[in-house]
Amino acid sequence: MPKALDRVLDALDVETFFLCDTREEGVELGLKLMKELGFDDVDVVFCEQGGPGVRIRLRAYLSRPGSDYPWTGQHDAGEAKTGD
Amino acid sequence: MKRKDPVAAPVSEKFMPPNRGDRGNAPIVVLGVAGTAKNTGKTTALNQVIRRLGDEKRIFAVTSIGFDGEDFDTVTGLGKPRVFLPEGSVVATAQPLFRVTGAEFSDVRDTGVTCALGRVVAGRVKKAGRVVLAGPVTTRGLGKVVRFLQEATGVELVVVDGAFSRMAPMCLATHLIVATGAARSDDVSTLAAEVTGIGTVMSLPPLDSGAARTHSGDSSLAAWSFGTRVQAVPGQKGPWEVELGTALMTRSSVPTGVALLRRIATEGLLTVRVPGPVNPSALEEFVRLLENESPALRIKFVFDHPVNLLVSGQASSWPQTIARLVGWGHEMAVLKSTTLLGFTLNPFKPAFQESSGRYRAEQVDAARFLREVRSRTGFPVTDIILEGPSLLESWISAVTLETEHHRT
Amino acid sequence: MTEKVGGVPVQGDGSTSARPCGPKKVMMVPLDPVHDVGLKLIRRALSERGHQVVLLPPDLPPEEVVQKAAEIRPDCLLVSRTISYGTAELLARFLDLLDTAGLRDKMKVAVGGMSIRPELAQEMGFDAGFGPDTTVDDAVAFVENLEFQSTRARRKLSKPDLTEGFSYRFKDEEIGRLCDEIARELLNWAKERTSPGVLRAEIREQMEKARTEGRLAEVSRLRDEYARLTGDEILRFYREGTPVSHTRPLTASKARTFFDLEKRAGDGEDLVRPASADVMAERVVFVQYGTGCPLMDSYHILLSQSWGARGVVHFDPSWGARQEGLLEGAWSHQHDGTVITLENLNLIKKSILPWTLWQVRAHRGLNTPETVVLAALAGADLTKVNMVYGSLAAGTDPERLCVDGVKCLELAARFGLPYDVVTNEELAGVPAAKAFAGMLVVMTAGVLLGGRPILQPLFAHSPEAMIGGIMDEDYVDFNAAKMMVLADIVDAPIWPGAPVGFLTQSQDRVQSSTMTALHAALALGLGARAVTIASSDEAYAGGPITGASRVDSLKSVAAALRFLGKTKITPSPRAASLGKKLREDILNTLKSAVAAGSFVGALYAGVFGSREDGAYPGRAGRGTVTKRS
Repeated sequence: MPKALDRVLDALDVETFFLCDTREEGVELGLKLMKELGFDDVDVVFCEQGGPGVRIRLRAYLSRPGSDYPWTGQHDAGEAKTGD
Repeated sequence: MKRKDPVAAPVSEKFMPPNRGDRGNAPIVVLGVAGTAKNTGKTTALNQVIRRLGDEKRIFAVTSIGFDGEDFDTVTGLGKPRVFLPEGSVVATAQPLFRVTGAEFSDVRDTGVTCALGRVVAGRVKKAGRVVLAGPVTTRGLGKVVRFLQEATGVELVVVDGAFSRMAPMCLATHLIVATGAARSDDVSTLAAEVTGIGTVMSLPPLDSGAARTHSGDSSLAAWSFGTRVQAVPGQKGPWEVELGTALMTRSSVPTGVALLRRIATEGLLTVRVPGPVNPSALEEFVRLLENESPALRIKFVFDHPVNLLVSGQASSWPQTIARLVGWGHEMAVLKSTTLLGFTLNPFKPAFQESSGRYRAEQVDAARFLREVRSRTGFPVTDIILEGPSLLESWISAVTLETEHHRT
Repeated sequence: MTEKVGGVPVQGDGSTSARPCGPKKVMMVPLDPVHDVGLKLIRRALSERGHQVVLLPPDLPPEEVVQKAAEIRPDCLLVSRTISYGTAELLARFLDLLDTAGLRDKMKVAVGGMSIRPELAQEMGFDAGFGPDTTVDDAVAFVENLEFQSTRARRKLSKPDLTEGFSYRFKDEEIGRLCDEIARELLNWAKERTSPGVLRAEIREQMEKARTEGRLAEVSRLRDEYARLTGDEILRFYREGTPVSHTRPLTASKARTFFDLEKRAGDGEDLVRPASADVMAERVVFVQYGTGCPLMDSYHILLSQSWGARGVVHFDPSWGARQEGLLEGAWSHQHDGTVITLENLNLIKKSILPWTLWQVRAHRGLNTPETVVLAALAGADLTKVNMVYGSLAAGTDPERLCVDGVKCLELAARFGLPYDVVTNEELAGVPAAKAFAGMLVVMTAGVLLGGRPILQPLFAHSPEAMIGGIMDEDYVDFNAAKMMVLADIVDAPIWPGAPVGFLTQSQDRVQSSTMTALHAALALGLGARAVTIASSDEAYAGGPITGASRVDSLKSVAAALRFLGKTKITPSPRAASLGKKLREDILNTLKSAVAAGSFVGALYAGVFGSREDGAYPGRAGRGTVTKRS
């Protein structure tokens, strides 16, 4: 059963607000979160501290340009099955 | 433009190069664990050293000249082990880091030294656990912390964790372990050459205690350091005082240095102290130029400490440079030194993956790696994961004040 | 008067003052192949403060830098370098050279760059590391040996008075005369009447006074009296303690957290405020809060203030408008809107900074006068009063809302609370001109009672605009026309809401934030005294507004304000003709209102919004108005 993640073109962004004391703590929390969610190729796109925490955008790259894209084969297969 | 004539003045302490720091006069063992690059297994080696010291029931403290103990490598994002401290040991680390540790502490006191993460404080481990280490980053700072630890906590041994490939503060170590591995180079010849280079430099003989003391009145000594006015006491030509640029750090300043020496003497043996960093190519160039211009002059180079030769240029070129110098009749000695215990070898390397843009952990064939590096160097090398920690432990057990390199 | 900002002494006007130390020699080392703009900015700041700065050419080998350091002997060495694998090693070796050369202890060394963090700086051997959030002030403070904080408190702000300097004089005398006539009639009419809402407000005021003075028996008696004037679920609460549906008492642990928040907010000096929010300091941007939970609200309020909001507006549940009576105690509510009680307001206040304006709205429903009382007791800065919108588009009986509304005007004047008069009925379909007519009458009544009203036109893609195609080409002209016509009619503060850009935003955060930012910039550029903005979740109805979405729109507004600076968005000539039409229609509406004989009568008759427009006189509270004995 093909995973939904395999249909993501390139990346998954997580936009959120962490409660923490420093920007560094926010970055660490963010990377930890993405690892906990099971992603390897992760990064912090944006992190800004304000008030009780940080506004953060985290990114998990699922398909980098030049890598093997999981959506090529499956996409074609899907079309073959249903489309005309 | 008329060249300024050197002015005569007696040699005095005033013109000695600045003291970067010392660990005090009371006996204490300082065991450094340095790395040649990141991810060379320094932390693994450190943890093993600490474990052994704990087993031997030594009274010891741990500090770092960098930052060690985070979950993810700050640059590569790869997982890293953290530093584990047994109950009864002492740690000197940045004050804010006490908050993030699993261990518990008592008698926490300010060492008087600051680092980028805050005040460096020392505490005794009440409950064992993992700690994050961040301590004094300079030689002077390390000296202060070591003295503090000795006076305030009564430890007999201080373990100093290194950072990146930084070596300078290790001049205060009485004993040294160097971690290296595939992260530094996965080519056995290159790696072995560097190991040999480091080992050779660390083995430079100490200067005979007599000569270093007799600055004033000793006609054979010229002292020259960088950026400061120096006192040169030439053989028969009377005392000199000259301004100089840097010492043997770059090839560009070599001609000036050679010219100075030739004005002092053109033949005989001159003892020259070089307090700052020494680049092997610069030194070779210096000697080559000297050969051309004053072939009858022989120099006894006195370096402050072997690590001064490891902060610029390639360590692997030192054996050849030293051999050439000696071949031409020159000598090399050091004022202070450190006992090199050995090298730990780590077959792991971070490999950059184009497709992911990240670093992945890769490993060379560990057994072959160790075998081939060992066969190419005469200095002790071990892989504590592959063959177990017993060799490393034997080094630790042998660490006492008696085995400390004789200090002049 | 100097104070420290980020450790660097500044004058009251925000400029930096004299250096606290002797002149330093600073060597700046860009180790990247291109010159670092950041270093140049720091160099300028340091030079202006009398320090001697040497900026080395970029990309020098470490040995050469050390050589230069030996010659120059700086007090401070600032290195800039982008870090990647390998370059951190390079910098570590550089410090080794410096140390071995005997120079390391003679100077402070710091490294700066996009990927610098304190841990990395420490590992490389620097005394300090400056990351992407660092400002020039931080670098200066480092050089001058001042304790610099990574959290940079901006200059101290003060609470603005939105009504200061306005005379409320009608420039358009014809309209002014009509407004005056209608307003006076309204006040005379209301003077003779009362309602349960009015009575409860009076009881509440007495009750809280008695409570403060410890007269508990009196409190009990008044509470009984109060309860008799309530109905349904509220009555059951007072009699039996049964919580109103969809509410829960706030837990003790949550209540304790408020005190932590109060400490964290403090006087605002230690609150981290990103530099991008500085541009918001001179403008008054309000955000609305009301997730249902006062604790969650408090976090939202804290972060909103951090990102530049200068005002916060309490959003209460819509059922509050239909019930007779307000609750007591600290409650959380399961849906949108945070229950108004004195306890909830007191808790929420803890995260409101000294310079933030706090509005508690009393513009609709059966509890408006009591709400003004609570707002005043809790220490709010503003309230909201309205009679037209509440009675034509929010379900309250016009007669009842007018009696209560006049009481609100009196109370607001007595308590010294300014209030805005909003025109939300536009959203039901009432044309702006009619809504403005109603607003101007209420404003006049307020001024006659000694109050300080603020006009709140909507910046929205209203039904009128949609049906008439007025905003088909742009969202600028019609909004500009509204501002212009009001400014031409009367000298009063204008505060567009609520929020601006209503019905122009989609669920997409970028589009939503952009719309908000442009509307806010438009309003402020046209002379708005304040503006209320939405979060980027404005169009999302599936769940509560998130903290992150508030940051989005605040940052967007800050970016727009930064973009425009002192320039502004200019309307086309169409705006003027739209404004002219508006003015005519306002005049005609007022004339019709006079012809209707009374303000309340005009409301029922649809003068200020007819059934055809989409406005319906409300039913809640019908028949509850009585004549004063």
